[in-house]
Amino acid sequence: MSQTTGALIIALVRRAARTAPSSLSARLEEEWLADMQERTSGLSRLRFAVGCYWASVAIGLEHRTAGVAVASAAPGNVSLSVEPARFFSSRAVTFGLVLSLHAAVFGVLMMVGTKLFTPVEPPAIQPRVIDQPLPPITAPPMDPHRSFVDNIRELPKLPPWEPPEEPIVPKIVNDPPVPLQPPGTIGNLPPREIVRVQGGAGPTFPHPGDYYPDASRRLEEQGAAVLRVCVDAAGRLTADPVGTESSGSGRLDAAAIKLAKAGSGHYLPTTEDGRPVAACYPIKIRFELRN
Amino acid sequence: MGKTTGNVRMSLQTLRVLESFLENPLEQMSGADVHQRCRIASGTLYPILLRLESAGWLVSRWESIDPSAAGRPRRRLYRLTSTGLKRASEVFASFNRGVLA
Repeated sequence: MSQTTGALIIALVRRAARTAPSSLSARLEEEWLADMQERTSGLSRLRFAVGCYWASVAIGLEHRTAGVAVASAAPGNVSLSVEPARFFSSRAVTFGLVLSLHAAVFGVLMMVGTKLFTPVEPPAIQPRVIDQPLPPITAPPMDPHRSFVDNIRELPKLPPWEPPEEPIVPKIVNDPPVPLQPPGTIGNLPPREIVRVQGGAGPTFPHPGDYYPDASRRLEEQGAAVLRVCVDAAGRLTADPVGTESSGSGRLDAAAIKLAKAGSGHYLPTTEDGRPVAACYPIKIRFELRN
Repeated sequence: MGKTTGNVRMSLQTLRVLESFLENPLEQMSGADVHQRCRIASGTLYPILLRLESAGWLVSRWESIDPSAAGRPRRRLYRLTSTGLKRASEVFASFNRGVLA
């Protein structure tokens, strides 16, 4: 803290003490200066000095209202006498002062405001007289022998209506019948093609190696049999598989039938436009020996 | 709002000041010492001390040092009187009972 700031704070404390009642100012000045030195930081001392100002105001109010008389600030004990008669409490006096201050500020603002915001009157509108005469209004010539409506509106003249000699008889004309469109067609549009994808063995279909006959392995029989299977939309067989092409070995053909039956539920169904449907299709089962 | 006990209006800050004196009734404390214990601002603290002194609850005296020799002003030391000790104890006892004195 600079010396200037320290001197300023000490001056504030002295000033605050002198604001207090004269009988207490000397004592409070010495007491507050001593207590201020207990504060270490400059900000704390500044807050202390400002607080002393407030304290001196409060002490002065209580001193006036309570009639406290402090004998002296001389060393030693201080004798205090209290007069119990108190017409207004210190809080009431403080409240009154604050209220009066607000009223004064409000009054000043009202006075200044009325001067600052004087309403501006708009300039008076001066009428201008035009000396030139208005042009005369010329009306179209009117025929005095016709009515007013005929004069302002010329109606078109229609030829006289003559009734027909023969009575009008309504004639019924039957339109030619509309040919029925064949089913599956709308108007002249060509029939829509259905995308059909044939099914087959699914990824979980049993492996032919598991059904390879042992005798065929020993005899090294190999071949492929073609069967016709009928599968529903869920991939299950709806009928027993039927062999359509032999592998050349009766054992392999029988093993192929066995394998096709075991694969029920593992077939991929045929789809039409992406929808699975029940259908029959050929499936080729190949038995090969691998070294 | 505080409640007047004798000539002292009991507020929360007044109770805190009295409590700091009741911790050691024989101890003499300056305003700075009371501030250290109560953390009450000076603008509130010194009117309370003077009020309690006026009511006879506290008594004060100057510190017995030579300011020129010590290099600092004398401190004003406050101490509870016997009346103050009795009344302050009654106030806190009444608060403990839940009834204002």
